[in-house]
Amino acid sequence: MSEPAVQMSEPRILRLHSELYVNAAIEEAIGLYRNHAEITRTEEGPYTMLSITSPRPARAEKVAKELANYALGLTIQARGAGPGVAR
Amino acid sequence: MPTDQVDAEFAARSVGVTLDESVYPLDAVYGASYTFIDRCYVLLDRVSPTRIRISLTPKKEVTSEDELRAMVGELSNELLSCAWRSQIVRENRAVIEAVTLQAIGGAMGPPSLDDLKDFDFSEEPFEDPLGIGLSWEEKYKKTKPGETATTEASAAPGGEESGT
Amino acid sequence: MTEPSTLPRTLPHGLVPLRGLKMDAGFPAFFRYRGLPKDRVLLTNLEGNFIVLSAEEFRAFAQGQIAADTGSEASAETDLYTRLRDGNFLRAHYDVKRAQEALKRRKNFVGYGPNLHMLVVTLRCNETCVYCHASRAPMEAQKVDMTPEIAEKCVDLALSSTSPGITIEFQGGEPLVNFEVVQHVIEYARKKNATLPSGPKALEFTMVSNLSMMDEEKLKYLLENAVQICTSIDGPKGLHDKQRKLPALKLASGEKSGGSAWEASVKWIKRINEAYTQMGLDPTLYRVEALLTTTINTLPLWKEVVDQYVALGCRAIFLRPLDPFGFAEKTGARLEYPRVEYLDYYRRSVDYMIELNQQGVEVLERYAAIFLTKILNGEDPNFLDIRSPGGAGIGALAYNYDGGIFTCDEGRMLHETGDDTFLLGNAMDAKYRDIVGHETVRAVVLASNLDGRPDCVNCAYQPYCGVPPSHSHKTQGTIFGRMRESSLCAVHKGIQDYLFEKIADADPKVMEVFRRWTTIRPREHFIQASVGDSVEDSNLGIEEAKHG
Repeated sequence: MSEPAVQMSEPRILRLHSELYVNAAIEEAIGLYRNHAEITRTEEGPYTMLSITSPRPARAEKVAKELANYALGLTIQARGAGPGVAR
Repeated sequence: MPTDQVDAEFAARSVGVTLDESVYPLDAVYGASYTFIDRCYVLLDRVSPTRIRISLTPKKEVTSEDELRAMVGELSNELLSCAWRSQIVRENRAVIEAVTLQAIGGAMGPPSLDDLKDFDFSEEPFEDPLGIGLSWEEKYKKTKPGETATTEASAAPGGEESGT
Repeated sequence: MTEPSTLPRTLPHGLVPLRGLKMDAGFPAFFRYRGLPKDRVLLTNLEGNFIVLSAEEFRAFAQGQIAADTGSEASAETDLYTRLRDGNFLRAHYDVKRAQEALKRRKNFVGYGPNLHMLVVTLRCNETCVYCHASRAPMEAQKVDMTPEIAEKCVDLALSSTSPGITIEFQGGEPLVNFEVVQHVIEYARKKNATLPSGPKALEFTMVSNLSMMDEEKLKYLLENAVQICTSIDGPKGLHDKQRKLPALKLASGEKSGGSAWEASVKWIKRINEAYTQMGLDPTLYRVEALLTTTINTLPLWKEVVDQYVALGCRAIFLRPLDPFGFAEKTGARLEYPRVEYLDYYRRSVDYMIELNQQGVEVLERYAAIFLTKILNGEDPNFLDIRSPGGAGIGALAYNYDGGIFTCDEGRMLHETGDDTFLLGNAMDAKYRDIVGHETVRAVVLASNLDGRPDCVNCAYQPYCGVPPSHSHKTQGTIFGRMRESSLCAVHKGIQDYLFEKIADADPKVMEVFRRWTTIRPREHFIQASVGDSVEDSNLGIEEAKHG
């Protein structure tokens, strides 16, 4: 008899604008949180769209928020103190 | 607060501030947002070519609208502070750099022989956008057909690779 | 007693009416300005010269309408022109070299490494203070004492400083709890200092102690080794004991000892001062220093606090406001107060001290002395928290009991509550240049530079002021700080407002007191001899002093 499929929550969508979040920062943040939720990345115009799912809806929500914070922190770090140039 | 610039969803415990990038440069947006990152979830979005939105969702329970209002107030003040500081530092850069260099340099003192022994000279310590440190042969070596010039001299001054 | 000069509550402080003023950019040299009561305006310039003008004179100055020519009608203006020129406020006569020299003198601390090295030799403390910012541990706590090995590494780093003189300050908790390590540090540091390749530094030791664990044996050692002693007195007994709890100890005899932190401190203050006199040291110069922390309970007792310090023979009172670190965060709700009320208390206290001085009682207020030295003498007394750039990391380092190194003691206090923002490394494996060249040190140097800070950049008090990044970080979440919201900026601004009002009034008797407060008399006795000299040769031992 096969194992029942794990029910995933409705995906939590995180939209990160490419002019405001550095790509490398997003990638590193995904890498950090991929063990806590399923994260699928797509591009839609200027946005990186992250679809975050988890068997627990609250988990997906938390991961989305924490990932966004982490990506923002890394972006600010990557930019240093210079004038705004998206990298 | 102007309703076209500030919105709040008390049920969702979040507030958003939309601002004009010509008034608050991106560095000010980052600087101000960062001061909230320990107590809020912060999300930035570009809502138009000239406007950015900052959304703040407190990590801890918020019991009143006044708390959200205070948060918006603090964010606005920090945005102003960061924007103005950015301008001041540009204007006073020379004197700030001079004092900082003297302060740190004076505190560190010259390297000892042990410090120099540990220094890794194999790494390229300086950025050299104009290729001043390159030898003539490296700078002007002929490339074979199909090769592209990849020396540092090829980076445009003031471009992304140049030092500030 | 004269009516205290409390803050006027009708006009916003510092504002100057500018309506209709048409600035002549070619007449004045660079200046900053601030309104003073009685329709006066204070001007300061880049190098920290100041001048007080009437509102009318200010408008004439700003509009370039002050005549230099002599003439019976213009003679008053000529005097003004001369005053402005002498102060280097006129563009046509601006003396760049003179400004350069003045600025260099004010910033003479830049270019040297940390001179203050705070060693937290233990977190354990036998007192519980309601506002404790040191995150003290109870006496039975384990593994919170500095070991001799860690202490030696800290001393090695301290002696690596590029500063020609260093002070090692023993802190805690209560440093007397780990007295063995205190002794070890003193002996190790003296020996090491004597053999430095670059020659010995001017080495000093100080200890910040509640004195309740002092005994004659420890005192003898500290006196023989010229350790400066500093303690806390919050005011009269009732106030002090309410805020600083000392449990009574049951002795082997069954008797109970102690229970009053005030009695313990006062007993030893008197004993130590007596010992200094017996050693032949000038009693006007060598006294136990005491500090207080102002809580809401202190505010109405301003006179009693000053009287208490005078009664103890203290020559300096440091009217420190509450800070936001350590226990103060939890107890703030019942101890805190608006800074306007603090400034009222400050004004009353210092007015009273000035009166006492005029009656022959020598007592100064430490904040006033610091600011007045900068204002009247053009020098910087190098109080690390009130300078630009600040002292964090380049003027001072704090070493925790476990060897953790921080830019300042406040940074260490934040570490004890889980915030490692100001942590630079550990003494067991750190190198001196890596510590003072750390990116965190660079950040706090930049953040504390008033030439880069909103509000400060335009403030008339900029040449004399400073707010440490650690305070802004704790209270506002940013090392740069928003000065309009800073309680510490409010304190510094308010104190300078008070001082400049007095300076502008120019009462000769008050000015005489102020000038006395700026006189720095070095205390040579506390500068350590090299280990080659005997202690008795260089620092007169207690036994010799007693018996002649």
